[in-house]
Amino acid sequence: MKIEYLQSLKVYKRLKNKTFLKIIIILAIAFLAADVIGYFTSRHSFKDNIGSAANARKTNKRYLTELKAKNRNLRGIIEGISPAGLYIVVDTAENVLFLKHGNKIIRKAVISAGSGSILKDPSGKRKWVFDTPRGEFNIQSKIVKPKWIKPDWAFIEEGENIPNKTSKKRIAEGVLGDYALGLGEGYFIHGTLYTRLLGRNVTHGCIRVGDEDLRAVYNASEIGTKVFIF
Amino acid sequence: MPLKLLFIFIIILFSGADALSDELKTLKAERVFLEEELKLAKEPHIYFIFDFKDKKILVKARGKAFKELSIKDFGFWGKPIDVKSAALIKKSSLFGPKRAKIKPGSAGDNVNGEDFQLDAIEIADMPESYSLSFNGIIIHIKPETEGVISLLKNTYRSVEWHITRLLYALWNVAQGKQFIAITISLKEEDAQALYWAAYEKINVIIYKPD
Repeated sequence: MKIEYLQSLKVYKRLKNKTFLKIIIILAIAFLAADVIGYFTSRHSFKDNIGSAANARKTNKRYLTELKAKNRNLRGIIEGISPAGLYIVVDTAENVLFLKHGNKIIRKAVISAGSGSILKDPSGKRKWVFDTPRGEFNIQSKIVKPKWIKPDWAFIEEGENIPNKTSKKRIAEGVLGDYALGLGEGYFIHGTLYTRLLGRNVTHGCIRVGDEDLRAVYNASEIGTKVFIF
Repeated sequence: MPLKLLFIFIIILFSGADALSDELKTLKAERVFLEEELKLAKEPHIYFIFDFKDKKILVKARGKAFKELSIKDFGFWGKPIDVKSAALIKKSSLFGPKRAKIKPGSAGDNVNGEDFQLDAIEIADMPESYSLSFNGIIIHIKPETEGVISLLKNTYRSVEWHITRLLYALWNVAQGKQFIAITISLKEEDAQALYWAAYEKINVIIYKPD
């Protein structure tokens, strides 16, 4: 009964008409648009707002292009800082040394880095921690047939009396291999007698390399070659 | 037909504006990140990048990456992070590595013998679960879950971390400081490698564009 009543209404007949529906929708959109325009015109003039929105879009696009260029430029600057020629990277956790040129690995060598052990002077006045230092270094010296000038801790570790600074007892030959590359502050990349311990953390902070790898690293590097240790 | 076109036009208009502003936001964050990295790359030190965009941790110097660790999973707690370099204040773990003490007079003891025992700390001695503390930021590292034992361990770690995090948060709030906690899951050996490579005062950049 009710349905029949509704169907008899003129409005229902009109709603069935597609053109009428389109008009309703267009009117709704027009009202919505007017509402939006009203919201904006209450703050700025409509003309200004349309103009600023368009300008903002333009500005954003320009800003986007500028930002892209700036980021590209920044990436270029960072890349420019990166070592360009040959350099050495030492991973003390994995006990490996990489001789690199750009992103290319020229040689990979198994090494021994610092043990991290602690030695205390029996007098209690001094303490040594045998870590390999981390950071960026330069090769400061290249030595063939290096002699080891034993520091005080070597005598303490061996339970011997510490000789004076100029004593011949401090000079040990043949223990550093055929070559040594000085990194400063008494740290070297050098050879080893204990090749079976390569790959383990056993040193007093220096970097021990096997004979063949040491020769290759020695020949490839120059004074000033960068060494990165982590 | 004109109605359909109108709708499409409105959608394109708004989606276009959103995409543009999103891209701007990403590029701005990237610019700040690159500027911060440039500052670190100019110094002769190793630094880390925690890149949550590409889910990796990079060990770098002079802008060059020497090691890359893949982030398996991560979570953030607290306010959004500003892209800014920060120095590591402390690394802490429940079972940290202990340095061996050399007994004077023991050098070279049986170094070539079969029963030679190495007194050193090596990567295997590093913890796989620990925290890295920065000013107002704590990064909790844990190994990814693999198997039942690992699941049990990680459940225990999660409970422990939730309590620790709460205490840290309260402590920071009491001091009027902001506090951000980050949880990162890594492969066990990567977690140990990160602990090894992280030393006090090492600079890091945490990069997480929204």
